[in-house]
Amino acid sequence: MGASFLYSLILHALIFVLVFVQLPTWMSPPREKAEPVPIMIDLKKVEIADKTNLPPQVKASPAQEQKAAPKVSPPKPKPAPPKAPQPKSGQPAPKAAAAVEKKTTKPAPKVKSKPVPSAFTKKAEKPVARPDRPEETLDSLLASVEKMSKTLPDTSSVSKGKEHTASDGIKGGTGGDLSQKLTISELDFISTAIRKNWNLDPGAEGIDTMIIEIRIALDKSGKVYSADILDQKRYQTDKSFRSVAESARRAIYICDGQGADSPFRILAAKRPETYGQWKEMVLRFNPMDGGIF
Amino acid sequence: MKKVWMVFMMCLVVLTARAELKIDIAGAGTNPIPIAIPVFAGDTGEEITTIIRNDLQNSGLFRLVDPNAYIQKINGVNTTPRFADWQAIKAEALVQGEVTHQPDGRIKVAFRLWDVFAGQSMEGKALTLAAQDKRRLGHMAADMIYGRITGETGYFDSKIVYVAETGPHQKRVKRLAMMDQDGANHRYLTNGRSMVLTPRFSPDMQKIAYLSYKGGRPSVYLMDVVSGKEETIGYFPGMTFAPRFSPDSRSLLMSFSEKGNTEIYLYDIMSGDKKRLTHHPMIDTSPSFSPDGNQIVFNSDRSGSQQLYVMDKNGKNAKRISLGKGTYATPVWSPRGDYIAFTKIQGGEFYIGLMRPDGSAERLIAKGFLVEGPTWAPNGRVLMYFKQNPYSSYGEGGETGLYSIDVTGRYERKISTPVDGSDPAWSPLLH
Repeated sequence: MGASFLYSLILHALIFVLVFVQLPTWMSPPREKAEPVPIMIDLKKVEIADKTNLPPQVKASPAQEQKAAPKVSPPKPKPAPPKAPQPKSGQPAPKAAAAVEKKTTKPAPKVKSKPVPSAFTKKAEKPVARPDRPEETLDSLLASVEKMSKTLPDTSSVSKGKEHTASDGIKGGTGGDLSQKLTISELDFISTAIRKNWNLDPGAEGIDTMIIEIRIALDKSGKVYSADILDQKRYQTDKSFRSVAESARRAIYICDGQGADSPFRILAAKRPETYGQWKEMVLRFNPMDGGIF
Repeated sequence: MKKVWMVFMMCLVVLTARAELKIDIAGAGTNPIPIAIPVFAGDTGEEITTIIRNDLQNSGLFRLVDPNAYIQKINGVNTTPRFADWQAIKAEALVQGEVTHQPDGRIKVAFRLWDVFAGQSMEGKALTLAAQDKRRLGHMAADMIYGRITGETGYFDSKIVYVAETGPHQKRVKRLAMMDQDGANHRYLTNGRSMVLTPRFSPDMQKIAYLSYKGGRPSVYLMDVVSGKEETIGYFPGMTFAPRFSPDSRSLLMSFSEKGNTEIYLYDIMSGDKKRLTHHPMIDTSPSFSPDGNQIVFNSDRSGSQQLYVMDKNGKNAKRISLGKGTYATPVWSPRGDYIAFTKIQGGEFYIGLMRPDGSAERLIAKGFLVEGPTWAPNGRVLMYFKQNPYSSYGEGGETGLYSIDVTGRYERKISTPVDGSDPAWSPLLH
């Protein structure tokens, strides 16, 4: 009995001590943790390009190197291998790490962000030096394989690519070669230009179920040299579909007939390096989706 | 080893395959298509060309490029178009043609249609008719051009029968009249001694059914289009009205009113047999067959107000399809089968509207003090109806006129008639 009472007393005392010591801690606001300090970025100093993807650096021939180098090298005109501004952390910069850091931290230093009225960013005043596009299939395959190998995390090849540059693109940029995508603005520009020239009969039977796909082929100047309606079966059997499909094809030809104002010519003039992307494309016409105007 | 090599190559191809660039173009404009139609070569080339130009322009889907702007002079069908010249004046389609008189006295029209920007021939045709039908040649050529470019059947080679109205409001004279769809070849079919209403063409173009007050009692009559001979429809002890032919032209749907009750009957023209299709104490009227002849749309006030119903051709399975506010009348099924046109009265206004045969997608395309009596063009793409102006307090006004409008409600046009017109009915295509 006495022992039990003693144990009880000791336990109660213990609880009392714990409450006395710990309760203030629990009641008080949490101790200052390392709160994330918002990083203030001065937007005035950030240059925003018109394009959503970065133009590439293209290997230059020794003759072009002299011209190209000043455009892409950092401000200091040292002949040494061009280094990106070092991050503040001052980490040792082995090749691979440096390459990655440049990709992520460098905010497009030398692309002169002149305001360009069109949807296309003016890349450079001078024509970009680039190897001729291989035409044959095997060559294309080899080129693609070569390109793929570049995209693999083989740091040595990445760093090698930075030694000699010819374009005024961004180091580490992925645009400009075969893997580059046209920007949304550029696609929208073409879409809008064609839409403006597309007229149809809104009362055509079954128009609300039609989607017309036309594959067009362009030469390097942006001239349309073929426009094929893909659904030939329906084209041959459905008069209404044929009419709407022909109106869509007419819109393409009307755009093409606009000479220098053709959206395809403008694309060719502004983004010749992306020819591989747009030498063939499929235009999908949906009469009712965007409304009849 | 070969297999390994093939697998390797396939992998390579798959790895290197790139997604094709696709661009979506959503939505389009509805501007009329600019079309150039140089005057056809030949004696009557100018007359035929004018008919074609007017037909295409009046459809609302084409805009004639000013002939004064044409750069290239085209003479007949053998001149090769210089597409750059036609592109320069923004013509998207080009028609070249010639008219020649055949040794047998007939007239031949040959024409070729070009897609100017694609640089491709779209159509080439030659049509021959008797000299007195030369206007029809123009309409037929216009139908083919319209059909090739829009994908729809044309409707220019067709006729209109309507009620021609003359005289003061209190003593209106109403006669049947018929004309080409463009107003040419107008002629009266009745003398005006008896009031006539609601004429309808038979699909085979042999007869016209209409309501006449001849003899003081309103009854449905049939007129032979060629001879002009009239005959009454069977014997009905009450009033018959609202006739409409079956798709095979052999039967006539109409309303028969007796002792205050109106029901729909099917009348066999050859045998004279009649069959009652509706059995309801309320008014059932204005029947119209679906193009396949399997269903009938009509209006009835069985639900308390005038609404549209669809039933089987035997009168069974009647189902209400109009569910909006207001009352509905004069339904008529499109030859294409995709719409039912109707007159709607709501809030003191009259409307011409369209709905799907199941009652969905109702929309109103014309409005007025009094708009009524829609009738379909043979292609189911255009409607005609009549419009009446209000009367002034002095009894003036009240003019009636015919109007056409396309199913989108965008292109409304007044049809020229020598006198006031109402109750139009569009014929099927003549060719």
